[in-house]
Amino acid sequence: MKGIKSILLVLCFLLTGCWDQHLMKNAVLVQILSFDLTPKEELLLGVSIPIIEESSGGPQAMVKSETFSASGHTPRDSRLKIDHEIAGILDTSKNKLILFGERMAGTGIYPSLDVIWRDPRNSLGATLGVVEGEAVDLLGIKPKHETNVSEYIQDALTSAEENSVIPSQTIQTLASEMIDPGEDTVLPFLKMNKKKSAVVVGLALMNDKKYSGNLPPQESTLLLLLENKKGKNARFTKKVNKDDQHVVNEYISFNVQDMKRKLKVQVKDREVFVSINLDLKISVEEYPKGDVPKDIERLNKLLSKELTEDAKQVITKIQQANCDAFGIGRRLIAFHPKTWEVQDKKDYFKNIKFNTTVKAEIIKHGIVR
Amino acid sequence: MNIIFRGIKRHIKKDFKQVPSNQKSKPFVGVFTSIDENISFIKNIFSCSDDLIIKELNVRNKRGILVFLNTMTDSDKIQNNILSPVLEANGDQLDSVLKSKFLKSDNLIKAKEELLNGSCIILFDRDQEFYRLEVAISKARAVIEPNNEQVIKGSHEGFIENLLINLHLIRKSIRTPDLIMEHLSVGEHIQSKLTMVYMKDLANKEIIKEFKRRIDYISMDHIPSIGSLQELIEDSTWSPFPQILSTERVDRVIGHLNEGRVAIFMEGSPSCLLIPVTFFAFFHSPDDYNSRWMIGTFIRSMRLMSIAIAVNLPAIYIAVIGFHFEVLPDDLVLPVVSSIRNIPFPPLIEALVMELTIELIREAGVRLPARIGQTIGIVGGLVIGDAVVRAGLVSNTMIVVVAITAVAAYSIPSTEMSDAVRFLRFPLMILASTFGFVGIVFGFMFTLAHLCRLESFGTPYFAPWAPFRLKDLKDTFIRLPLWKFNTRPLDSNPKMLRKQSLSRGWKTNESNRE
Repeated sequence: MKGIKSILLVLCFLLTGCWDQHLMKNAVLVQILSFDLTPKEELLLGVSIPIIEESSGGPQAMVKSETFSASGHTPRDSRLKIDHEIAGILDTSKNKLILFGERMAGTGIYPSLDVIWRDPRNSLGATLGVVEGEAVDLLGIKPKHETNVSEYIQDALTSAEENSVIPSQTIQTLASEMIDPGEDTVLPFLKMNKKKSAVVVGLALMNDKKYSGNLPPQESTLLLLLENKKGKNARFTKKVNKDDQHVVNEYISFNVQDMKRKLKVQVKDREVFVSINLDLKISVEEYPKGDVPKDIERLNKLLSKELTEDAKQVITKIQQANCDAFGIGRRLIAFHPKTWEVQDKKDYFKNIKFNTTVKAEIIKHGIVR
Repeated sequence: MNIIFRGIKRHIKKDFKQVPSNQKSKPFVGVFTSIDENISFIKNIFSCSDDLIIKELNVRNKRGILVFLNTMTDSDKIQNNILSPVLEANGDQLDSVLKSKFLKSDNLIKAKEELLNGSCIILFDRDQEFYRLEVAISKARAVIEPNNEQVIKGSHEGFIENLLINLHLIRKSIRTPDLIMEHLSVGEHIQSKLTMVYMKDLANKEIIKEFKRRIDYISMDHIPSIGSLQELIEDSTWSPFPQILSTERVDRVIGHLNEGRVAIFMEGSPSCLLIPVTFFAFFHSPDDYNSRWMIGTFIRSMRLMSIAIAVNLPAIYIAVIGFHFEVLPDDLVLPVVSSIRNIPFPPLIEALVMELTIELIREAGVRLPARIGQTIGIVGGLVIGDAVVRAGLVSNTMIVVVAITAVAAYSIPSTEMSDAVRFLRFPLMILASTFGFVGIVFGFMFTLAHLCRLESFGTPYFAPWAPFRLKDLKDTFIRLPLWKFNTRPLDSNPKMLRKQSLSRGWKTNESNRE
């Protein structure tokens, strides 16, 4: 009797933990979440789940993906509907991507992300992105070389990050930027290409929490340089020569090797002046015309001028979109609180005067002249 | 809970135990004047056993008898060492022959013991004393390397079942008068010979005293083996960890003797017990010291890592796939999912089945002759390992985990510690399957606390970690070059801490020479 009692006691103690069990084999892993607005202004949630196909005898199983979608009032509502449809329990803890349709992003992304920050089982390492058109369509693409869509988009984003087209960020790092009144975020902007592949086509500019414009790749790279968020590479191609026999000879391609950025915020009579000085050390990667050393002075000058103009254009664009990617507002709050108080909290960024200069200097030109 | 409670009760009981039982004075029975009385006394003691031989021996009209057990004595030796000198001696030579060759004694109880040890006894009429000489059969096997503790480099000597030869092996390597050997005997009814070996100038007196005290308490009829002795004198038998190191290697014992530890040998046992030891002594191998120090360090740290793997890996795997698979890296998720998706059992059952199968294969293989052992290896390893996955009963990843665990557990040089480590992972697996990582953490904390609390003959078992001593870490987790070990480890409380000074002094003195 005593023995039975002690065994029961041990079992009571041990089995309490089973309540929290969460078996991996019962979970259906979600790899991409997409949010769209239906014409009825309802929320359309799309999920992409991996389908593992047992390969006969091979070491690696084939992974394909399948898309489910359902509309509802909130993300959880839609998710419940999808849960009824599939076998197993939806699990977002290994989610890698959250995509917004253009229209959804225009109305604000924060409400749909609320559940992700609230529920501890969600993955905070996921990347956000805005898709031209409907996001759920992107989940259905069938890329040829990679059958798993999430893996494919993830890889595309990683390579874009390396090339400084998009900044490297996750929901975790975005959270503070998003709710900060003095700072706005930029998200990767994706486009579907003939139902077959996804292309990163630059940056989606967010005005507070709403999508308000986009930047093409070259400009987005420049914006990232101005933000001091260079990735591994930052490549540009510029036209530097005129009327050559071959069109190729008119261009130069270069990579930014090293950079220095100085950002100064000054306040004069309640007007905000921002000066950004960008000092780029570049290495020439392609110059079909040849003989960089001979042209070096001219190229330095020309590239500096071109890049300065480009930078000005980028800033005009983000000012139009009212996207304070530099976090100027944050600086004002920190260093000039009085000025910040009198500023228009919503549109302050549009009124800031920018003075941008870019200086480029060729420091390498490879092993040929 | 019950175990803990019983453990506590046992501790309380120990304090109230009365005086040791076998400290009674030795019985004495004098030699009778009449030889017939002596014969009947001896015959009575041995109950006229058929191997008791009593021969009449008349030397120069003096009646005498020769007594021996023919199962314990060598007839050639009796002929050469006793009969020929005694019978050939003429005149007064007999006395001198007896005095020079034989030992004298007057206690018949002593005579009984000597007969049992293989001595031959000569008694003369009207003598109050008897003469004895050891003529035991010595049938010792060759000194070979022990199978369970092999090394690549270094001495290949191992102990055998003969106490005298074992002691000879020790004395041969440590030729100093500081080496002390003390004979003891245990067992109420059938006595077993024990020998305690230590260095007089190093070994701590308290430990020797404590060991003798514990031996005195033993009131068993017969101590069957050195393993039983170990269990009787160990500090805490409610622990999975062995607190006494048993080894069959000569060089290992010598190393430990030089660190001030005490070695205990038992007649008929090829293993030697070493006290006091630390947890980390079980992970050392003579190979560490015979190879280069960097390699020694690398291998030793691998071994210590292997305990962590052997104890934790199955538990961690169970916790990951049962509770928190979000810790898996992104690229690992899908392969793992694809392998466990169709397994019908919960992870704990899956792991237990495989772990227990491996234990069974081991157990089946241990006692089989080598030729059948191979069959077990093939059936167990290939058939079960492969078929169980193909049948969809156990996942591929589980096989990988179980295999790594098994390899890690068997890389621990001491079998006892390897057993302890393999045993310990089962409670951890159960904890992991009900509480996930939290359970593992609690289990690990419990184990660590237990290790810190354990003692081996009054010295801390988990030294030099608890209590922490940085100097001793040189020879626990890693093995620094030998010339760095200037002091002995503190855990065995040696009398003399200093071991060497500037063993590579030639290097700094190079310039002085010129």
